[in-house]
Amino acid sequence: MPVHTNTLTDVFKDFATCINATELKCGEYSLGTYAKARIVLSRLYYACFHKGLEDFPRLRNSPQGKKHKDLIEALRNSTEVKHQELLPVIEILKDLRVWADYDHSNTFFQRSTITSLEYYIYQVEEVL
Amino acid sequence: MENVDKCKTVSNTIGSLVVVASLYTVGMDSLQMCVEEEISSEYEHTGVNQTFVANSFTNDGLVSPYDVDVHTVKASEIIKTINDSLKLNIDNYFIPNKDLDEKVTLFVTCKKFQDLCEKEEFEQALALQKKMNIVAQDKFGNDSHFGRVAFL
Repeated sequence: MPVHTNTLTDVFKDFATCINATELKCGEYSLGTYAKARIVLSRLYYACFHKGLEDFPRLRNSPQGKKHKDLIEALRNSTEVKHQELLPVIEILKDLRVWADYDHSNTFFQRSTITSLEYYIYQVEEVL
Repeated sequence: MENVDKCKTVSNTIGSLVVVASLYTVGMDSLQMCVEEEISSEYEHTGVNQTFVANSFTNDGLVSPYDVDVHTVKASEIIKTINDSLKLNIDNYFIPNKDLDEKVTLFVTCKKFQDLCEKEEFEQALALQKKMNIVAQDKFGNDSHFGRVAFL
């Protein structure tokens, strides 16, 4: 059985960590926490998503378009400890990712602080 | 004489209709007031400051100014339970993805969580989040609206 090394997990996690530590600017204006939150949370979700796919090659190579839902279902049905640890993190990040990538009109995170992002980075590092 | 009787009958009928219509209007006003009071008391109860969804809709001629959002009501109940049990003083909440998926995450904010994050005590914050989920799970079981509660 070929061993598959998934490099995307680390790529997404490192990207999220790097963005979180960088001051984002658009011309003279700082984009601040709000823009960072969207980018970081989305990348963290994908880091977890690709981590999950590593253990489910059939799902990984599936041509079907509902891989995100199927992966969560596969993790729910698994009895492996690492899958049970990944499940709550990926479920929570999935909802934030939908907001971060698609719901531009909802500006909830504008009132939040950067420390929440570090909390999510910590959780992802724990399960990867 | 017969015409006079007919006029009286018509007049009485119109009078009755006016009374019924007035009572109906008063009834609708009272009902609306009850709904308003129920909603405000719910919000005073939890102490969470969010704008309630108030859309108008029409259904077979009936018009109501309130479209009750089940996620908002359920979230309010869960937050009250958590606040009572863990003394967290949750001050705001966020439910992204509620229109697209089932069993979504209820994100909450509170000062205690922010304090833990500022001190980089993420492990403690995570432990508190797990406690929060146990409290919510014990009280509401397998709720179809929310899968988890998380800090944000």
